[in-house]
Amino acid sequence: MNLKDNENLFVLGSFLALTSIISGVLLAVFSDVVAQPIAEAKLRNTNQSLEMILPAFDNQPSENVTEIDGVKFLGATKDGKLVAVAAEASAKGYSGPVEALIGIEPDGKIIAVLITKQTETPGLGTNVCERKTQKTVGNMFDKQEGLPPNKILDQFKGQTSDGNWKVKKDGGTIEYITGATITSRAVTAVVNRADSTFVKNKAKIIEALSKGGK
Amino acid sequence: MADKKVSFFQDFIKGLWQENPVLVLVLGTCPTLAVTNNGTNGLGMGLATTFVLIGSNLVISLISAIVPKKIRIPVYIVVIATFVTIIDMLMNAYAPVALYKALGIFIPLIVVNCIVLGRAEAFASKSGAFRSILDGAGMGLGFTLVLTSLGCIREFLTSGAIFEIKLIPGWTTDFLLASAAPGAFIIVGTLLAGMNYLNQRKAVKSGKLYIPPQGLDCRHCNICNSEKD
Repeated sequence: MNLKDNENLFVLGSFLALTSIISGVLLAVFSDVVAQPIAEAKLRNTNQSLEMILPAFDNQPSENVTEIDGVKFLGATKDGKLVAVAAEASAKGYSGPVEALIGIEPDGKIIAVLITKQTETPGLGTNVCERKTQKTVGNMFDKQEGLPPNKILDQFKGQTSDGNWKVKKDGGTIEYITGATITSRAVTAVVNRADSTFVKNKAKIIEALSKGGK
Repeated sequence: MADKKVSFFQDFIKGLWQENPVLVLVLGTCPTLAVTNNGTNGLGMGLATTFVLIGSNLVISLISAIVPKKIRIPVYIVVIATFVTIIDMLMNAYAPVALYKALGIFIPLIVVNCIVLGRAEAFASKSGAFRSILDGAGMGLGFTLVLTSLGCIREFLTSGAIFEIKLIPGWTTDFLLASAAPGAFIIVGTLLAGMNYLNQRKAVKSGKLYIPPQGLDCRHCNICNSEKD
């Protein structure tokens, strides 16, 4: 049988089906093989961000989770005591959601803010969101340590939200970057929401997360 | 091509300059323009495409003898899509998170990158396995070369940095045009002009008129000629 010049509809269909089945089986096997490394990479990434914004902890915060009003709280414990909470929340930015990870002390003070996902305008909105140390020829081999600074994100440090934070342009107290007002608003909103939710439900969250989540 | 003896080396090297996929064939401009806002992204995208090109060229050269002519394009697409899914999963597992996030949708979109299907149709389906691998590697590296240099140029024009290492310390305000899509068009256009200028000058020096490589008139793609085959 000459496959190459075959024009029988049934033969062609079966050939294509067979190709797809082979490809599907190969991919299924392969996805099984890499499932473990992908999960590990994801966990490594989450933990990297958590270590940046939280004090030292010895549990796995991503397994110690409670959710209130759409804000996810991850509890970090050390020696069985809750040392800090990381809040995961998102708000609508200029061109998509802005997702943030906010480290909060048990008394409601903000430790640090990290934007984990954003699609803002490069060079404008990203200035509000990105924490990046500028590598230069002089320091390219130095080890990066600690949390790179960001003027807008750092102003929340040590503050406790009164649930009513606004950027200065809207009559509030929060600094913003001209040209990136909407992104500044989104960042303010997400921090405000996460912290005020924590303050309002402090007792409940601390109780839920103190066990260390095992 | 058939009557001319082409060396293995020529199969590999032609993708780098003479038949460079971006600068001569002008294929795959979507990822070329979209992801090259810095050198790292360009390199990552180029290497991912190289992997897909080598893999799909190899498999297609092996199966081309039994694939029915009428459905060869869908079959090739299935092969290409398989390799793209594999590289997508591999990058998810092992590549730096920032790179995987930055390339985002453009990794799955390698499936519809014209270079990959173009090489499958024009070269791999008519050549042996070894030559197809060389062709894929050459084309892929040519693509990588252009994407990386384009990324470096754009990154340097934007912020005076290359591979995220600032070369000019005082450069604090980004020049956003170079990192945005219009800047990509302008820079690719400039590179194309430079390439043509060099080729023409070379041709004039040897006393000839510059003629683009044979068989590039309707480029390598003969999909629209399939009725005449």
